[in-house]
Amino acid sequence: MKSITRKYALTAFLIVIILIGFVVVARTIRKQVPLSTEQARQLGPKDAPVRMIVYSDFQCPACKIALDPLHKLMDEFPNLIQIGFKYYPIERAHKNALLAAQFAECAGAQGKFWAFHDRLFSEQAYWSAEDRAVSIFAGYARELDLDLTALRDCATHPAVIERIRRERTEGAAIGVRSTPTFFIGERMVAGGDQLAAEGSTIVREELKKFGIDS
Amino acid sequence: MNAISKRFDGLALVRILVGLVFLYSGWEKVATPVEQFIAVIHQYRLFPAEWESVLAQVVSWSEFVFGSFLLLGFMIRVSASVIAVLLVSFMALLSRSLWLGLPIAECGCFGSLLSLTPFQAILLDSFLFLMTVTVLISQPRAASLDGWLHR
Repeated sequence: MKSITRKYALTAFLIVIILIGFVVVARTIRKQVPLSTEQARQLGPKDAPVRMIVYSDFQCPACKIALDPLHKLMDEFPNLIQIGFKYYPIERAHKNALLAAQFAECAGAQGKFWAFHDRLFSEQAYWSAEDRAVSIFAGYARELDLDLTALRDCATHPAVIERIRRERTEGAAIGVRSTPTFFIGERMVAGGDQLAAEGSTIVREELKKFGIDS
Repeated sequence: MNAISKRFDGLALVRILVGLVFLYSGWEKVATPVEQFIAVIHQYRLFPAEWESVLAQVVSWSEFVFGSFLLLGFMIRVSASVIAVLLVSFMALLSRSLWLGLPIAECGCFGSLLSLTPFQAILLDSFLFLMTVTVLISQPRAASLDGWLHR
């Protein structure tokens, strides 16, 4: 009886150690993937000490809600944060998310990414379930004085779709599983509620690295 | 005799399948930053904030460890019981979210592989629960560490 208990205890110990080993290796590999700001659509001063990346999906209601704590954070630390937007369209759940990202990316090519971004989020409930999202987005583009022909050509270009999907893949590689996910420096914050609760503290910690007390 | 061994092999397959699902589901959670799963738990609006991080660790490691145990056929009764309790808890939580009409588009159960609505997740969890109870009752020892340790 004692012998079988010992066998079980030893086996359990070995299995758990092996499992922990796998997790440690996976987490180490993930940490080595650089958090790239390349191609991120930026908002805020280029020389801001705090870099923040947002992985977002235009059709995700939580992403829209998270804009409020995000704006509050930017107001709390004016000129100290630069936001970089990255696409993470959850295509399986959100049928128009990829299309919205395509249009936003191409509005960005005409210098109006953030205006289009704001419009998409403010009208999210309207276009999310629509089958004619293309014409709705074209309407927004018209209102923002974008070149519609160039926008359509750009939005349907395979390279644009590939770029958006690549950003999502990169996000998944660094541990993004849901939207919105923020990185303040290298610290991950998932969701608007976590951002509201912890954002200020993390930004202050980041600022301290630059000798800025706020 | 042949029929009996086939039945046992089939049950072992059920055990392996449930184990695989939980191993993968747990892996997706433990290998990514815990903040992701805390955010998933938070969207169900049931637990105080200070519990969420503890729950996130306990649930994800339980899935990962007991899923692996079940896959390997180790401590089958204990592992299947833990998984059954987890499944009942998930179904209760998901049903509550539907009842309250919480705005949850994706259940957050399986990481990046499977995107399920709460309703789809309840269906899948019910199916997994039936499979787990079958394993719990039959405790199939074919291709299992339990069988090997008791030799």
